[in-house]
Amino acid sequence: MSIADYWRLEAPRFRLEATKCEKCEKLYFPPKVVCPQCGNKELKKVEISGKGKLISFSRIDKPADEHTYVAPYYVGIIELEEGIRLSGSLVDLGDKEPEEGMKVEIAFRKYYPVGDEGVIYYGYKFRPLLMSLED
Amino acid sequence: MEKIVIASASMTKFTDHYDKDIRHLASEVIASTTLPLNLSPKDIDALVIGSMASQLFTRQGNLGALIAQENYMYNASAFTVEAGEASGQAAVRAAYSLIKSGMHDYALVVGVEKVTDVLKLPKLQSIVGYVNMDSRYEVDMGLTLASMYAMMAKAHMKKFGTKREQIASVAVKNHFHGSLNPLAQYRNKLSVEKVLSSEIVASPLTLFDTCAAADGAAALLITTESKAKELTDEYVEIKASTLAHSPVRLADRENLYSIPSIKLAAEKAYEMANVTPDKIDVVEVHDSYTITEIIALEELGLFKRGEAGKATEEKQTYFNSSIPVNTSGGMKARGYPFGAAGVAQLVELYLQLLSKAGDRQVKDAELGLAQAVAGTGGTSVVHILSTV
Ligand SMILES: [Zn+2]
Repeated sequence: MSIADYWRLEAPRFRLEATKCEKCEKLYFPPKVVCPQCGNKELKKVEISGKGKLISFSRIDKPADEHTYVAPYYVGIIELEEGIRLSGSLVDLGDKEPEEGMKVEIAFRKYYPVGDEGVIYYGYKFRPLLMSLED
Repeated sequence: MEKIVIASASMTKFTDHYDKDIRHLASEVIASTTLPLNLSPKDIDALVIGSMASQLFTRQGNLGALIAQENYMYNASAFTVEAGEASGQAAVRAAYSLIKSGMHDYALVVGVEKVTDVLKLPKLQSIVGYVNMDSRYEVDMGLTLASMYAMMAKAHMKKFGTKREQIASVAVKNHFHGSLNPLAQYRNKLSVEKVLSSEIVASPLTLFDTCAAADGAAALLITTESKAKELTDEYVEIKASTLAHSPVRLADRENLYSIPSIKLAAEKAYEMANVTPDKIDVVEVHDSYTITEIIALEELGLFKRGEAGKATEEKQTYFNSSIPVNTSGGMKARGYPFGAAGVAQLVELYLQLLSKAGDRQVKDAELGLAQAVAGTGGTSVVHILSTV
C-alpha cells in the first residue's frame, strides 16, 4: 500500500467516517463517492458510533505474511448500531474467548509494518465494550 | 443455431513442477490439445489465458503475448482473463463468447498458474487474500480467506445443524476420487479423523480442509460443431456459460451460510441450457475449502439448503452414486493451481461425457456442470456441458 493510499484511508480507518445519501437515506461504509441507488454525488460525511456486536469470529493460527507477528489472533464480523457490518481483528480479549453476540467497540491499533522505511499502518480493530455507568 | 463445442482438452499433472516455468506448462498443454486434431498452434486465431496472479507469483504479466511468443502464435488474439480464483472458468467463458460471436474460428483456452515458487504459506495466504477479497477492508485488517470460510462453516453448522465431521467428509471423498485419477496431486486416501486432527488454520478449519500449493496448466479447444466435425468425432457441447457476482466483502452479505453469486449464475445457466438440476449427471464444484463444496452444492440446487453435508457423509456424491461430485479429486486432491484448476474442471467433464475417465468413470454421463468461485463469492462462473 502506498503513502497516498494510506492518506485516502485515514478518514474511514481513524474516524470511521461513512457517507450518507440524503435522498435515499442510505448510509455507506466504506464511504462511497456516488450513491449506487440514485446517482447522487453530493454524499454527506457522517461519523458512525463504532459500537456494535460480534456476529461471528474465527481464530487465525496461520495468518498472511503481514500479520504473522501477532498470530494467533481472533477476527470477526461486527454489526454496528447503525446496521453496518464490517470485518476486523479482535483485541484486548485477555484470556477470554470471544462469544457471538458479544458487545464490542472500536479500538485504534497497529495493523502491520510496511517496507524498510519503518512505516507502520494503523486503523480500527474491535475490543470488548467497556461497561459504562448506565449499564 | 450452431452448437459451440469443446473439440479437444488436456492438462498437465498438478504438482510442484520445480523444473518448469509458466511458459513451459502452457506450451505443454497447447501441444497436447492441438496435435491430436492435426492442428498447429499457428491455426489458432484466439488464445485466452486464465491466470489468477502470475504478476505476483512469478513477476510475469501479459501472458497472452508471452505464450504466443513461445508457440509462434503471432496471429492469434491473445490476452489474459483475471477473475481471482474464478479466472480459469472466466477465460472459458470469454473464449466461448469469441466463437459464439462468429469473430473467431478456433479459440484455445489455457489455464495456467505457477505457484510453488512462492514457498511459504503466509506469503501465499497474503496473495490469495489481496487478489480475492476486499484488500482495504478485509485483508489489511488481518482477515484471511480461510478465516472467512471458517465463519461460513460455523454459520452453516449453526443454521442447519451441519456437523464438523460432515464438512470433513468432503476432503475424504475428494481424496478417494484423487486416488482414481492418475493426474491428481494427491492419490492417498484420507480419514475424517485425519482431517479433524490436523493443524488448525482458522478455527474450526484445519490444514486438510484447505488445498495445497501446486503448479499446472489445462487447455480446451473451443470451436463450432461444423468446424469440430472436420477435425474429430469426439467433442462435447457447451450448453451454458454464465457469470454473476455478490458482494466481495463477506460482511456485506445477508447471511454467512450462502454464496448468492453461485445461485445467480446457476439459475441463468439452467435457463440457458434449458435443463433442471435433477438432470445433471456429473458435477465439478469449487472446493478450495471443504465447506465451499457443501455451500456450492446447495446454491446449485443439487441439494436442499442444509442437506449437502449429510449427503456427502452418506456418500451420495461419490462417482458411483446418485450425484457424482468432483470425480477428478477436486481442487483438494487433483490439485489447485488457481487459473489452471478452473479449466481442469471442464477437462474432467469432457473426459466424463466422452466416457474416457477411466477408473472414476460415471455411468451414462450425458450432462455435466462445472462451477467456480472467487474468494467468498465475489465472482461465480457456471458451465453446463452435454454429449452431442
Ligand atoms: Zn441515493
